[in-house]
Amino acid sequence: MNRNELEQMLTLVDEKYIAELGESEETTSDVTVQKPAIRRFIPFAAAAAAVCLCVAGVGLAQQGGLRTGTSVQEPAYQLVWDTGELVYVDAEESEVSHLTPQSIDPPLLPFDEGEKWYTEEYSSMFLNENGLPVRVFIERKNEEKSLKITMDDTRHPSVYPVGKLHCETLEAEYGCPVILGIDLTTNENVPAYRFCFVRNGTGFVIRTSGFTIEEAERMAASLLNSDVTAAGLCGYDAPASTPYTIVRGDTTNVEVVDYKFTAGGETLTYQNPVLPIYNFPYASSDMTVYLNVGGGVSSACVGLYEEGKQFLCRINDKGTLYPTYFAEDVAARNIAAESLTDAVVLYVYDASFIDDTEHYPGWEDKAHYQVYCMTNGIGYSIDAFGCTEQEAVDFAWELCGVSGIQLYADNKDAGDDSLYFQREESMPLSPAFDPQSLTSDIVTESRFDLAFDTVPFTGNDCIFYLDSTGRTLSADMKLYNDAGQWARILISAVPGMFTEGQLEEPGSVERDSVRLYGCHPQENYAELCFGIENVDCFIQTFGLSEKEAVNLADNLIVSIRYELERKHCPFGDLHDSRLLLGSAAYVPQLLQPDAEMTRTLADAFASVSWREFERDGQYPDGQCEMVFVYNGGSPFRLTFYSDLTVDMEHDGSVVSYIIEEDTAHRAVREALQTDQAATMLVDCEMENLTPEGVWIGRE
Amino acid sequence: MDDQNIVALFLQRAETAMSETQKKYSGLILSIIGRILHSPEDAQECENDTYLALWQSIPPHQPDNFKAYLAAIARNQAYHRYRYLHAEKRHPEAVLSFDELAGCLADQTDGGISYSDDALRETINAFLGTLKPEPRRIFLLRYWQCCSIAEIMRICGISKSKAESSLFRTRNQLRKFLTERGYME
Repeated sequence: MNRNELEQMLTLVDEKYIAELGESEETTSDVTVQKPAIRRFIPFAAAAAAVCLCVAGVGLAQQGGLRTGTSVQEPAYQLVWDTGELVYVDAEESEVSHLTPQSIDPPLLPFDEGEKWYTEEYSSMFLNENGLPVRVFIERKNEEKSLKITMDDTRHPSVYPVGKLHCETLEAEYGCPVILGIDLTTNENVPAYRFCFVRNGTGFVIRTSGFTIEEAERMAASLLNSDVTAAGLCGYDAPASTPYTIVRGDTTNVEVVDYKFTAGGETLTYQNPVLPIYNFPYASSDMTVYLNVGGGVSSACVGLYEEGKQFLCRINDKGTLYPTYFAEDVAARNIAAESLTDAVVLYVYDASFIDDTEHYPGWEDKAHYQVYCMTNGIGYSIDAFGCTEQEAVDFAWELCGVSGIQLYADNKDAGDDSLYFQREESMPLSPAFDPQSLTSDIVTESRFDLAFDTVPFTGNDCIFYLDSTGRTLSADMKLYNDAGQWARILISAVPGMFTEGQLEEPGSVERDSVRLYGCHPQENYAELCFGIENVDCFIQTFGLSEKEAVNLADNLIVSIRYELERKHCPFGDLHDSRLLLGSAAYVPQLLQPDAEMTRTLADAFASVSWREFERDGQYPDGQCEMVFVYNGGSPFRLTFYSDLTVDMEHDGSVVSYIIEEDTAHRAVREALQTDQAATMLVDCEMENLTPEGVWIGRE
Repeated sequence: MDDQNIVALFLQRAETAMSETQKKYSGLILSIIGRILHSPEDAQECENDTYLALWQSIPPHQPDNFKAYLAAIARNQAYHRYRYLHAEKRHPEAVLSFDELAGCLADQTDGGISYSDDALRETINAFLGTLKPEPRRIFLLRYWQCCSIAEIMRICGISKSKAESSLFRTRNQLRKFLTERGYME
C-alpha cells in the first residue's frame, strides 16, 4: 500500500467513528466515560412471587390506591402506597455486622442540581469480606429537612427483605418499575415518607422528612431512572460494555462428549464466595478451584443459585470449552482467533434436548441454555437453567468481562508486540540488584512517563541511575496506591541482568518475551521479567491479578520500546561545545553564546526526538536560524527551519531531521534574541559562512 | 436549530439550510480545515466548498449524524485542497502526523495494484472496529483530524507518554492488520 492509498483510506472513515471525535469539540477537560449499559433483570420465578402477591393484595387496598408517575425521565413507574402493615427492616437495624463501614467522599446523585439545601452530609460505604462495596448510606440534612438514602447491591435477604421482594413482585404485576411508598408523617407540619424500590439488582430505601410528597417522589424517581448503584458510587463500575456477537449453534448433529478436568493438583472449594457480578442477583454461590502441580489455578467451576434458576460456569485456560457436547462444531469455529479482538463471540445453544436427569437432577424440566465463549485465551462454558436465552447471554457477557476471576493463560501470539507467557512451576529468588555498581551519578527525576491503563497507581518513588554521559543505566521504581497495590520495577541497561545468569541459564530466555515466574492468586503476588534489545526488566507486583501484572509489563515494554526507537540527539551532548549562532538579522556577524546559553541549547537539543527524513530538496518559506558547532575540529552546522525540521551539514553531506516539538527551535530563537546580543556578536566574512569557514581564526 | 431540521431544509432545497449550517458549524468546520490548511484565505475558500459539497450531496444522501457527515466533508475538502495547492510545499502538522503514519506503513513503490474505495473503506473501518474507544479516538485525532500531540493530550486528558505510546501501538496494530489482509508484506 503506498502513501496515496493510505491517504485515500483515511478519507473513508465511517461517520460513526468521526462522531466519536465530535465530543472532542465540546470536551475541554476529562474524557467522557461511557457508562455501561445496565441489563434489566426479569423478576423471579412464580413460586416466590406467589407468596408476595398475597401481601401485595393488602397494600393495594389503601390510601388512594395506585399513583402513576411520569418521572423526571422515561420510563414511567408506578408509585404504590403500602398500608404499613408490612414489616420493613430499617437499613440501620439490619444485619451489618459482617460488613465493614468506611466513609467516602460525598457522592453526586442524579437530582443534585442548583444550590445545596443541606448543611450536613454523611456518606459511608460498607464492604463485604472480599473488599467490594455493596452498600452505600447517604444522609443529608438541615434544620428543617432530612434525606436518608440506602443503596444495597447484594440483595442480601436480611436487608429490607419484605420491601425488596414486594417491589419486584409488583413490578412483575404491573410490567413497569414500582416504587413502594409508605407515609410516615406524624406531624402534619413535617411530612415524612419512605420509598423503596429495586432496580437492576440494587435495592433503594429513601427516607425523607420535611419534603413535600412531590419533592420526595421526584428524588426517588430520579434514582430509579438513573444507573446509580452502590458500587458505582464508590468507583466500582460494572464491567465496561463490550460488543458481542451471538452465534446460535446447530443442534441437529450432536455428539455428546464427556469432559474431564485435568488439573493434577489440589482442589479448593469455597462456599458462598461473593463474586463481582453486579447485574445478576443470586442467593448463594459456590466455587471449586483446580490447581496445577505448581500451585497455580488452571480451572474453576462457579455456581450461582437463585430460586428457580442456576448458572453453572466452567472457566479454564486450556483453550477448550467443556462440556463439549458439540465438539466438532466448536473446534471448527476457531474461537481463539476471534477472541483476539475486543468483541466477544458467544455461542448459544438451546440445550433442552439434553437429558439432564443424570447430571442435573431436578432441573430436567427447566429451560436449559448453554453459552460458550473464549476471550483472552480463557474459555467459559455456562449452563444456565430456568432462565431465558437473553438472560443466559447477558450473564455470560458479564462473566467474561469480570476481572475478578482470572486464570493463567498459555497464549502464544505471533507478531511484534506479542507476549509469550510461560507458567513456571517454582518461584525463584528475587535477583540481587546493585545499580550503584554500574553508575557514577544518581538522580531522582522521572525519565519514563509510564502509562498504565489498568491499574491506577497514585504514587511513585523512582530512582534512575545515569552514566557519565547522562544516559539511563538502571532504574528502581516503586509504584503504589492507597488500595495497597504496589509494583516494583527494576530496569537495567545491562542485557541479561535478570534474564540470564541470576535467574536463568544463559540463552534460555528469548529476548522480547515475558517470563512469568509465578502468580499466586491467593496472595496476589507475581514476578515477571523480560528483555528487550539491551534492556532487562524485572517486576514484582502485589495486589494485582495476573492479568493486571501482565498488562503492566505490556505497558512497560511499549514505553521502553518507544524510548529505544526515538533517536536522541544525533550529535551527542553539546554542553561543553563551542557554538556560534547565525541568523539573517545579524549577518554577516554571528552570535557567540556564553556557557549558560550553551547549556540551555544543549538541554533543548537533547530533550527532543530527532527523526531522519528525506527532504526531496523542498524547503519551507520563512526564516531559518543556524547553529555552528566546532565539535573538536570536525565542525558541523545545524539549520533550523520554520517547519520544525533541521538540516545537519557535516563534511559536505546533509542529513535532515524532523523534530516533533518546537523546544529546540524556540531555544535557538530565544538565544538569538537575547538582550546581551550586542556584546556577543563576532565578525565573520560572508564567504566564510560555512560549517568549517566560521571557525577560521577561532580554532 | 437541531440537526434534523437542518437536514430537512437541505431536503426541501431551502437556501436557509446553508445559513443555518454556517451559523451552527462554522467554528467546527474552520477548526478541522485550519489544521490542514494554514492559510486563512484557503481555509475560507475551503469552507465555502464544504457548504457547496453539502448542498450537492443532500439529497440524495440523508446523513444519520449530520455533524459527523459535515466533519468528514470538511476534512476531505481540506485535504484535496491541500494537495492541489501545496503539492510542492509542506505544512508542519498535517505533514508530520501523516508522515508519522506513512513512515510506518506505506511503501515507496507503486505495487501495481490499485485498491477500490470500497475495499479501502471496508479495511479502515474494520480496523477501527477492532480498537477500543480511547485508542481509536487518539488515532483518529492524530491522523484524521491532524491534531498535535499537545492537542490530543488536552482533548483526551492524558499524558504525552500515553498519547505517544497509544499511537505507537495502534500504528503497529494497523501494520499487522494490513499485512494480514495482504496490503503489505
